[in-house]
Amino acid sequence: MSLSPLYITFGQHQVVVETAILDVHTTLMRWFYAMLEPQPSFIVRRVTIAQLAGNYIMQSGDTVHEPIGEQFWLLQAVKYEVVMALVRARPDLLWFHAGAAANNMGAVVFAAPGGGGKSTLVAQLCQQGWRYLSDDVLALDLATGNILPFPQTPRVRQNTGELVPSDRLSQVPKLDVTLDLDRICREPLPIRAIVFPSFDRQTEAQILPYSPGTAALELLRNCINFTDHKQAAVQQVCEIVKQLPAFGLSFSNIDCAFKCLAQIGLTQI
Amino acid sequence: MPALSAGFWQSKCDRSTLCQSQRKEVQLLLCCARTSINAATAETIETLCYSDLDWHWLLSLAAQHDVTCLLYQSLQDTCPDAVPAPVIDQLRQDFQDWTLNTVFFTQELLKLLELFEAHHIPVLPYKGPALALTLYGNLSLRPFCDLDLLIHPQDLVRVKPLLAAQGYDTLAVDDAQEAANLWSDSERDFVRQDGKVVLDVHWRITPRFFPFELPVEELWQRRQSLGLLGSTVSTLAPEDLLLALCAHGAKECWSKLKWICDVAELIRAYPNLDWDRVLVQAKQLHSQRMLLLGVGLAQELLGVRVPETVLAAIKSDGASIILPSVDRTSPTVGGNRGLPALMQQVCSYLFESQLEQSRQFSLTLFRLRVRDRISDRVQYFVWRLFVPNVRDRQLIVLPKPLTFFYYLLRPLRLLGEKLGFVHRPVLGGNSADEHQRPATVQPDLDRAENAIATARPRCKGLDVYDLGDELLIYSSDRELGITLNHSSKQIWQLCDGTHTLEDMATILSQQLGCAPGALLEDICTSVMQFHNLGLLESL
Repeated sequence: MSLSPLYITFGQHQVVVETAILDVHTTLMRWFYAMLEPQPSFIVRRVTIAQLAGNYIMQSGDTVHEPIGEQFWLLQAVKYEVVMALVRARPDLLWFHAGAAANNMGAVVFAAPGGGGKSTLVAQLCQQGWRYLSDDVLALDLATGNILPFPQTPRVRQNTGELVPSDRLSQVPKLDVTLDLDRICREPLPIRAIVFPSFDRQTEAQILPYSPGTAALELLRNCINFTDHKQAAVQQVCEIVKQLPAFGLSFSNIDCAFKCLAQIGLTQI
Repeated sequence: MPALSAGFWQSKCDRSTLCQSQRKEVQLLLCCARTSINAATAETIETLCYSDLDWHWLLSLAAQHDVTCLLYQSLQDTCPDAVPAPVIDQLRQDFQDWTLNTVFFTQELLKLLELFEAHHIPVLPYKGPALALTLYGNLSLRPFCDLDLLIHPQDLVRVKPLLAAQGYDTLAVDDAQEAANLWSDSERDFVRQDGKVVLDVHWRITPRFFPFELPVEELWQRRQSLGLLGSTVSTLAPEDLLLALCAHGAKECWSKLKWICDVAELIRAYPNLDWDRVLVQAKQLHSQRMLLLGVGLAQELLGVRVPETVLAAIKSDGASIILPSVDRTSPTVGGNRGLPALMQQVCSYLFESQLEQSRQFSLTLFRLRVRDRISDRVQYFVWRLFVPNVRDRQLIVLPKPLTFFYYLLRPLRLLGEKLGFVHRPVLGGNSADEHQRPATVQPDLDRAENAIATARPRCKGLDVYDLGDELLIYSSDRELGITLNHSSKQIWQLCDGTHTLEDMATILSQQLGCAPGALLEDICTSVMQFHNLGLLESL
């Protein structure tokens, strides 16, 4: 059986993923369904996945990666390759480890390292009617100050009921959150507020305003390609934090977190 | 309350494995004893911090090896949250205290250099502040307990009265005898009358019993310039400094980690070091083994990258050198008496405490084993036991025709000191042994704070972004971002090179309606934080 290539698209740029392994094809299609285009355009990276002697072999561009035994880790590696290829294809943008959801007043950005709760908060907002931009990677247009959607399918970690150390976070299974295509935001949007979430088992939920200086430092800490821009990045981030409210949200319970966001008027549709 | 917070935005680097066979505390200390930490080392540091550590032992180990400031800086930059609060508080306090001391010492050094320059006496400061700034890029990261100056031998008699006029004491020796001292000795200690500063004036890099004959004239010709708190001073060229550091470390049996850090930081700071010249010169000076040992330790313990030619020389050491056997039965050729064995011995000195009883004997053996030539080993004993120095000449003044009696007097004096019949002059301690510096020479904090209070800090030309009540400063060369709150921002804006800290306190007190004295401590703390973060051009 021949499976069609997956053209994963961000703006004009595409990464094409080719594989004859049905499980892998199906999963990747699910993870990137809102970013797929039927036809090739400007391909920046070709990723092929094959199976050999019980192992998965991934080739990205000219690089053949070490064989991978488990499909779980293969999929993580493919996702990383796809995202990073698209990030590198647009060095003019300032990329952040952040998620975002938008209502009519603009987008709320959730910036945090892995395990901070970005996907959980974004997915919850979208289920309440907000439009989805991204749950993990976000690009800022330095010229306009708007953010660009990167609508990979939101995936939320399962609550294990246990405290998971940061180096084992990637092993915790994630569940895909299905969103209607009309909930996916396609156009650049201005930022309305920035929230820095952190998952903290010691507290139900607490939200505190961040000063512009603190917000700038935190935002730049979560920048993926800071070294491409340096001063320009600092300048743009400073402009953003001067004009926008920023908050630190620590939470262990999503409902309580939403009450906190509601208190500062961030959850209205 | 003034406050600032900082974030580093650096890229990840290669992974390396270091120090896996030692105690975790030692591993952590070695990972932290450097100014540049890559991502893999940072990860190791964080992992070790979360393991079951004896923090008390770690702190005492760091203090013993004079690397407390490096430990603090590395933990603070890497994973401050992983360190118990009392430990990081203690380290911070030590760091701030030491920073004040360095400024005090440095100002004294600059004063002395100005004095010598006014009298046309060429001087090369080395070790101390010059070393800290050249290799570590920060005065606060490399502790020192004295100031070291290198002069031309013939200038000693001119230096003495100048220093005496500045309140420095030294051993009372007739000028007529100084010619003999210049021949037999390598340095003279001067101690300021208030006991706060010890100044070592050298005319050789090492004592005659441990020869390393790099002429001062050559060092002077190859000197390099260095900016020190707004002044320009001369110091050793990096190639000469490396040789000098390795000779000094070997003489001291590398018993402090800070000396190995110096070598590692030098290699890191000078990636274009002329290694061919260093190797040739070491060979000419019969000091190749000392060089290779120092570099080998820096590579082995602190992960510094060393050229293949040097690594090959380290590996081949011992194959052709006849070394005294440690069991004193017979000389041994190469084999396990080569550099690896010496490096092992150094590690034992550094991190094992049960060696004290045999330490003196081992120290002598070690000093013999690092020499390239048998004649150097013979010379060691002859000079140590028979050749008189300034202390012998100071004990009894003999008329010129009887000066040969000093050769008989010296072994008797040494024996007398061992048996307690003769008291060694205490001025400044034994200049050959840095371990034995009296603790009383450390300047007190109040004095150092006074020195700070008269400083006129000037901020560097960095990228500064106004955030209303706050300020964000970006240092592109260090990829460091710092935010200042309202109070710190006001202090920063007064760091223009024209205001003393007291001036700042006066200005800010008028704005805030409080007494200047109430603000001075906070201002001092903020300025020291600016300095430690490398935000100031001068203090």
